[in-house]
Amino acid sequence: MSNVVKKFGQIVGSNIEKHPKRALNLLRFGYAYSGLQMKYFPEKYLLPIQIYSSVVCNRFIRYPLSNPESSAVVNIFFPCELLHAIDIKPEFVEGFSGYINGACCERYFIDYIENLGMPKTLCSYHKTLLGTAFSKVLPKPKFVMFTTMVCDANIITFRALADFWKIPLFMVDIPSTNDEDSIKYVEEQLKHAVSFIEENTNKKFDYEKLKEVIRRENRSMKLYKEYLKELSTKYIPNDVTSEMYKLFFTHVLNGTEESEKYFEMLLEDAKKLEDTNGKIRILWCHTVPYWQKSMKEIFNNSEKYQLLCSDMNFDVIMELDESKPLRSLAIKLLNNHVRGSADHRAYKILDMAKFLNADGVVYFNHWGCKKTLGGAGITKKILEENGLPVLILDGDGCDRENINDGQMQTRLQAFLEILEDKK
Amino acid sequence: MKYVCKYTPIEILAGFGINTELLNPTAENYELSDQYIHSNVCSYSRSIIEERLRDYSDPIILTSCCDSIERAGDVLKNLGQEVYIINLPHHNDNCCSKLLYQKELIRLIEDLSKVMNKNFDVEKFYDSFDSKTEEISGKYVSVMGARINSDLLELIKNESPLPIKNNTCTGIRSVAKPPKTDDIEELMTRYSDMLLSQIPCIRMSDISKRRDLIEDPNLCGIIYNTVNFCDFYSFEYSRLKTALNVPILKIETDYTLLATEQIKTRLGAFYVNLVVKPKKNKRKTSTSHTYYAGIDNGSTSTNAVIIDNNNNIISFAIVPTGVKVAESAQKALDEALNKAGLEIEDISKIVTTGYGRARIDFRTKDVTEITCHAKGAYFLNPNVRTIIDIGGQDSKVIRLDENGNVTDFVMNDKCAAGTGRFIEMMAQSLQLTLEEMSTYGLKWNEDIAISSMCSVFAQSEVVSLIASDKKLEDIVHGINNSIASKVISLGKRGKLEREFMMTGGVARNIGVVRAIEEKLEAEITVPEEPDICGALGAALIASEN
Repeated sequence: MSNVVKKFGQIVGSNIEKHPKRALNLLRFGYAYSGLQMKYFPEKYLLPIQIYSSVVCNRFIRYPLSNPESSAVVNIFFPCELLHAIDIKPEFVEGFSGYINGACCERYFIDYIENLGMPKTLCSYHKTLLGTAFSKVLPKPKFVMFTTMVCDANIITFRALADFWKIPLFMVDIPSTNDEDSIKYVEEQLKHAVSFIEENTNKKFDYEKLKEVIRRENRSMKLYKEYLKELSTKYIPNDVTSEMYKLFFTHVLNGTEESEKYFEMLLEDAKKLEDTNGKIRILWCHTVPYWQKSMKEIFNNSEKYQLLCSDMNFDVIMELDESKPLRSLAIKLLNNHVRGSADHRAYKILDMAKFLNADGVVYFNHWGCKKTLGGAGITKKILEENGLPVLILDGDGCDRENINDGQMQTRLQAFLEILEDKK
Repeated sequence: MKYVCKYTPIEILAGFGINTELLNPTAENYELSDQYIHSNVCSYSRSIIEERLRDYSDPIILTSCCDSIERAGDVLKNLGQEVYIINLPHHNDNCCSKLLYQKELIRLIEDLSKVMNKNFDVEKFYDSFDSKTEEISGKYVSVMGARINSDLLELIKNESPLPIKNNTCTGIRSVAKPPKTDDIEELMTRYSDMLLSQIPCIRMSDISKRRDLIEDPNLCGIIYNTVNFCDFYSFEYSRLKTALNVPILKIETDYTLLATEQIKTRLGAFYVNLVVKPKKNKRKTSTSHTYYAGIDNGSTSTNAVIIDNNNNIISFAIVPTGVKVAESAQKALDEALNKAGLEIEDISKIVTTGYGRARIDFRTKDVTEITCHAKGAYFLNPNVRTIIDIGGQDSKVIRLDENGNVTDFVMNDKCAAGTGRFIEMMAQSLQLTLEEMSTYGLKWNEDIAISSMCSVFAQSEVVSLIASDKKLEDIVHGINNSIASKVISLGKRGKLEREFMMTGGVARNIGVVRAIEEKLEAEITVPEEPDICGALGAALIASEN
């Protein structure tokens, strides 16, 4: 973190209580500046795909800050295909809070919301978003939509946001079962979601547009599958930030033109590379603490270690049926491997680890994510019984003051040393 | 069969002749569960695992009511235990969710019929609705929020001057009997509706019916319970706190009894404000001297103060708290008596306060340190509205009204950050004495931030700063700022109003006082003897009729 960004974060932080509009303008300016810098003066070592993803994500995060009336606040697992079909831009908690962390001011917002009574033990991504809203820095969007998938924090956060902003709220409940009744339950809610969107935008929902989005998503996922096949035998340079950007394209941006182009570039770059051996190949679970210097030093474009993929970037890859778009989206939501039991997720991780020829798995216990924390022991057991070494790494994907960096670094390096010895 | 959630269809289990019991164990520790589940999941779910590993007998029925319970179910299943999980929808306000839950209920009936090889008895099902719950008429105190273990609930009941209503998430199970029908599917549709129409727990989509819990003229106060690492209820507490006119106290436990003493202190202060309006001091009319003693038994030091009937401080003593509370108290009192040239017989009344207050046998009565600090601080300066008290293991912010009554208070959680113990740990790392810690931070040049809020993390951060050759003065200044931030953040849970007074041992640390002053942008009064404020308050209470 450069001193300039640190100073910038301090200035934003010092304004949030008394001058929230000024803090918002500073953030808008800061993100616009970093977007231009990335577009026109990128770091030389970055690949075209890394530059492209960074520029697109930057634009995506900035849009709701200036155009809140055509934006909706959502969570990462919300089926944003519905919003793309009606030109509402989603602002998602994990991505937005990640950017606030990038501006080095997340702690000010976390302090703000904790002082209003939000528990310290709540997920830091959620606390950051809540802090930006309650401090009146983040402008009021059109509405709030979310799914209950994987995270109890969703209902706490999104209800509080809708109450605070006094705007409409829509919840899609994702059950822990996955059978025909569950599909019907989710599909029915998605029908209501469409009506909700129509009511609150005063626009007729165009199912043809949704089918278009779904076709693009299907093409994108086909490209992505091919990319993963390339990745299974190749060393493809990666860095912790790009892996987080990938979450935008595999989730909230999936089905957009930008996302299709991203997967085209991703595959194109991968195809150019030769098969390689000898690297330590790491599969990551959960979000990546991309802001941590020590993590960057270990993984970014490393000659020794290949950061393959986060499991959230292959949580559900399936072809959608455009003739039954809502049912198809319901099935996609229910097939997400982060939903359901810890064993279910662990076996999906195991399958992908085998497919990608991973040497080991880093299971990142992000602060406040009870499902991930609660499943750590089971995942480790299942993967290790199947010959795959696992490191459980406690940390925080968003709050730089809530970690012990030295200890994390030592643990990760020791794990990598063990894997090197094995190889 | 044991169950954990009020949405569990226990009447169906009764229809199969299965006795049910709410699983609500108090954990002694988490030695076993820590081997299988991370310690940062909800303490209740850890307590279930701990209990099941120590005393596994019946099968258990869970609902997917929260992330931690779902994972506890996964862990127990992996350990080979019989666990049945029911998918509980989040929606309690639409027909789709009621239909989905109806299917879950029918699945349960089918599964039980197969396993037990017997049919569902509808009569037994209906009969099980008849069990009566205890009704409370008249004024009462409500325990709200997250589930509460029975030991803690018992403690709350025992100490309370008013009847206690358990309105926590599992305390208010109120399922109405569904209208009769012979069609099981229809019956389950109605039953599903009844289950989901209860006063909702906070994870449900429509929580408007929770208003019933607070809109009651007989409600005199709320003890709001939260469980460590259960995130659901804290925010409701904050909203109620500002919206309601009744007193409200927040408590948090990790489902063990480790915090019982601190909770007792909080309860004591809460109940005092609830029913007893503090009496005005009545000065003695007698010309002959009568003496009163106050003893504050803290975690680090035990302090005694003796006053006369004109409220003049005659003497005081500060001794380190030893292993035996009563002995430390006796020692402090003897020293104060010695200094005053008095005998124990000269003391008319002795009031004790602090953690060990109830274990000092020679006391006339005991009062919580919240009330005593308030009394002492108001006596020393009637303009004080906010007291910041930082002791060895506690920090508190107490707010007073213009008559010296406590209107609000907050205490730190179990974490030592921002307490005297934290300063001791840091001093140890820096190899400084406490006196040096007090003044070193005043001579700083570089503004270093100790960012970690956790004492253990902060200690390793300080060690790194030493290794990177940072000046001791700058590190100490960073530590002072860190303590100031912690206590201000604690205080912001209530209102911070001028004038401020700082009490407790840490008030002797000039660096910390200055750092807090800077953050408050206000001056803080520090009494000449900040450690004895609590004991002084106790002595003043002893002198009252």
